[in-house]
Amino acid sequence: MSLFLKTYCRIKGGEVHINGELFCQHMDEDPFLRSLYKHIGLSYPKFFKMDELSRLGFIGAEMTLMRSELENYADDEVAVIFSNRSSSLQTDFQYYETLKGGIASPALFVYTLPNIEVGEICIRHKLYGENNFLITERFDAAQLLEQCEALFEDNAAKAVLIGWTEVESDNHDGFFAFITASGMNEVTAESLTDLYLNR
Amino acid sequence: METKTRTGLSEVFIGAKSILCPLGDTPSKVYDAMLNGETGLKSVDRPFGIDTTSHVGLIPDHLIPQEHMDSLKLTNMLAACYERSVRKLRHDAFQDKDGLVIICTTKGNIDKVGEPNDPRLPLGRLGRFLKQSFDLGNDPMIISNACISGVLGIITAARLIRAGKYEHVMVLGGDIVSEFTLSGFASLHALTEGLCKPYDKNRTGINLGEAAAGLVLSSDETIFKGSYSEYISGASSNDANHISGPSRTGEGLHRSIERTLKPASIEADQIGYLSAHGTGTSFNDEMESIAFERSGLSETPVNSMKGYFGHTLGAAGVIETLLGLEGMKRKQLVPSLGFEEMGVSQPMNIIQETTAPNSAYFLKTASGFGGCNASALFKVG
Repeated sequence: MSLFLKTYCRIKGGEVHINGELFCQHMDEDPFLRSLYKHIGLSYPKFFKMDELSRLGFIGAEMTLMRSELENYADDEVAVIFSNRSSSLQTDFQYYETLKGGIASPALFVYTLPNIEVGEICIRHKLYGENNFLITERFDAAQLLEQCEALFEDNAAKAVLIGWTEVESDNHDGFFAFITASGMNEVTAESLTDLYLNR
Repeated sequence: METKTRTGLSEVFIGAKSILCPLGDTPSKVYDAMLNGETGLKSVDRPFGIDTTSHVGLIPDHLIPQEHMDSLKLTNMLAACYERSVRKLRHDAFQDKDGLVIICTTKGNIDKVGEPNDPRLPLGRLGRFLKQSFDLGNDPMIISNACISGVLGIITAARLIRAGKYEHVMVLGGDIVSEFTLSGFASLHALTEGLCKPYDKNRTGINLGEAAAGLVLSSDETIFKGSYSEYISGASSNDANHISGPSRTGEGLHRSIERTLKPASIEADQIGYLSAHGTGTSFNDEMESIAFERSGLSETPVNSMKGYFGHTLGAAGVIETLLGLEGMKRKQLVPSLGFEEMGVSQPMNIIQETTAPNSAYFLKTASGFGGCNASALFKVG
């Protein structure tokens, strides 16, 4: 079956591109994601409680979904399928440090599951649809689109927000795309990989 | 030629069970132990050096084959299940392009977290190891979606088969008990000192357990040497409510059940057996009772298996589906171990003595952190 791309967003190297065009660059003193939060005028205090992986997913989802005509879908027709290489490993290390320091942090432990970022996105946008979190050693457009196809064929979703979020210290690598079963802009694993590689 | 059922869903079969858990290393041994009322949970003082006393379900070392080169416990557990499930097939379907292996785990080899540079720590490594060891035709898919990972793996497998992407999919679930997970659940005050008591008035929390288990889903029933059942439908749904607290209305679980039954044209009262998540925490069990009531399942015979081997996290959905299928096949559903007195607000028909299912339909549900819920429906016999 054919799949279609509605919107995509690339976050990499301190820059944000939306649908291929430069949206903003990291300019101020604030950490990158905090600066982005201010730039898009968000007011969502829970953002500051999130770990870095969830913040990246949250911001990317925000910028993608606000351009995806979400209102055309029922609240359980949009699936969220995310992926990355390292799962929640950065937060795992931080949690483990608190444990070794004598007081294990429950607030950090909750974020030692990668799908928590999917939960944060579902809460924010009131999405009751399908979820999945996949681990792949690199961005795998074919696997993500295969998931979209399987969901559409099963009538389990009408659109899917797919995401790749990898955080290593200050290095953010995010890619987000809103994939639909019908539309104008047909997408393949090859074309989606190109967008990931070339912004 | 694909066969369509009366609801228009193409047929997917499920079988080739393999298991490794505190109660044993074959489905029949484990189920016999459960029918005898045995538990694999044992009291451990300061488990893994953590300042707590808890019952945990550890797999005895002698049950874990050591012949694989990656000397880590979880990898060995998954490799053993892979081999045992394959032995129950007419051929190893996973060395070809039309076979896929899905690994469901929350934390993988998290016992290596103290050695950040150990290449065996990242989850992706599990997939590469299995691919190399068993000469798999495709990269394994790795699902890490909290405590619904196992049920989600089964649903994902069936969808990929129905979409014509693969003919056979093996779903492997596995997680170990470690200092990392035990300390985390202790920090959340979610562990009980004694044995967990799902749905009971005096429940005070969970026991962690470790397990690996395997099931094969296929569009071709002739691949199975032994018995098999039928996968009917499944769905996941998010509560969109809270990342670590279950929804007070059971919204996501209720929706996942509705979206499972509707495409199959099955009514709630046709379900003969419900294997629930039943962790033994106050909020989870209460949420489930509300979701089941909303879904018309208050009278369905239901149990939680957590009292037999603990909460096995990413493996839970696979091991509990497998044992649920075993119980349906034997027509002997085990009591919900640890339950004595009703402790949730909505009525539930909790199994207290070994009982026969009253229909062929079996529903498995799971819920997890991140607000995720999943359910899957099977037909046995």
